[in-house]
Amino acid sequence: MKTWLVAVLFLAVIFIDGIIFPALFGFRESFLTIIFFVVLLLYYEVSFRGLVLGTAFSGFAEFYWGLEFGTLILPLLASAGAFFLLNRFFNVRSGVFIIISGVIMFIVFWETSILVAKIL
Amino acid sequence: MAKLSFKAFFIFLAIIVGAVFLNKYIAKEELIFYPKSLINLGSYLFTKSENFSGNDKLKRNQELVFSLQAKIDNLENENDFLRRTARISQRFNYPIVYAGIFNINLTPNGYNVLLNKGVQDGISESDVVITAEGVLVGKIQKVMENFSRVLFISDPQFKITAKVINSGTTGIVRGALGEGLYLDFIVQEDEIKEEDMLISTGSDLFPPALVVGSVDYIETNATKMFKKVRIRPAIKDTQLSRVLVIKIK
Repeated sequence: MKTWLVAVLFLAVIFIDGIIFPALFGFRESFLTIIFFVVLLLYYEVSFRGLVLGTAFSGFAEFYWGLEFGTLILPLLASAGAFFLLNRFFNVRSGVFIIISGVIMFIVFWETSILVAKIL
Repeated sequence: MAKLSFKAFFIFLAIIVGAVFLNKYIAKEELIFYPKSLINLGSYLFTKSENFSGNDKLKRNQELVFSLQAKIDNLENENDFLRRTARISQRFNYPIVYAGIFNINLTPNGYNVLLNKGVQDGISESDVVITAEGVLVGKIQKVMENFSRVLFISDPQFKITAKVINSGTTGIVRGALGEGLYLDFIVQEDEIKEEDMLISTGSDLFPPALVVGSVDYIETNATKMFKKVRIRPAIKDTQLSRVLVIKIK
């Protein structure tokens, strides 16, 4: 997928995450954005490009939401680290494994963001 | 797609953690990664888009209108009061102070009201309080720095010499709490009938021609020297928000 298309998708996600999703589906704010980051990492299989893109997008999201620098970038890197570890012990190739690792990455992202927010 | 090695990942992680550490503890959150001008621009744009519908401006205008309405209402009231008092203030040779009543205490022990004027406005004890229509309210009992207590006309301690209009019948009016007032020392031969108006005589410390009340009930008993005359205070039929204080001293 082209980078500009990913950027447009990210902007759309960040927009509807704050306005439409919490109102219509009762999602917690930033829920969809975190899923987007996890899917981005999984899609690029935690390549250098995917990591740089994810870092840039999470940096933008921090700026957009007025968060401390690192509140989203560090959890993103933590979930990327989780993917690395899973890749090391399991053969993450099949669809089921990708979904499971995605869920684990999401939980790691979520919990780390809470931890980082407390530290920062 | 170029695979990311563990080493590259940890270098990347170290850079980010280092940057966060630098921002948090060395640059002391000066936001070197997000320049302040950019943050301010973002904040400005966000605020602009929030206020796009003009809701805030409308709310501010509405508050201003309410404030002006309140001011106009207050000025109208004051103007009306001053117009009504213009004639009555000319009747007295004493200086007059305009005051407002902010509390009325009707307790079984006595009736009194509180005025929003005190020593700093020149009020002193025994000054007389009347309405814009010339109806007697009471007299100043105690004066504080910026407020004073008025002994209400219906209080048992309150006494004034009064006479029936267009008649020579004179007596002493005293307060009787919930019963209103009583006119004492009216002998059986004195001319007095129900609905007669009573005004102050001016023979005591009160100015003359202040409206006291109207005769409500007369009990005649030939075996007694005096009639029992109950008076309905005129103050019952008037508004008590703004009053005049006649400075006797």
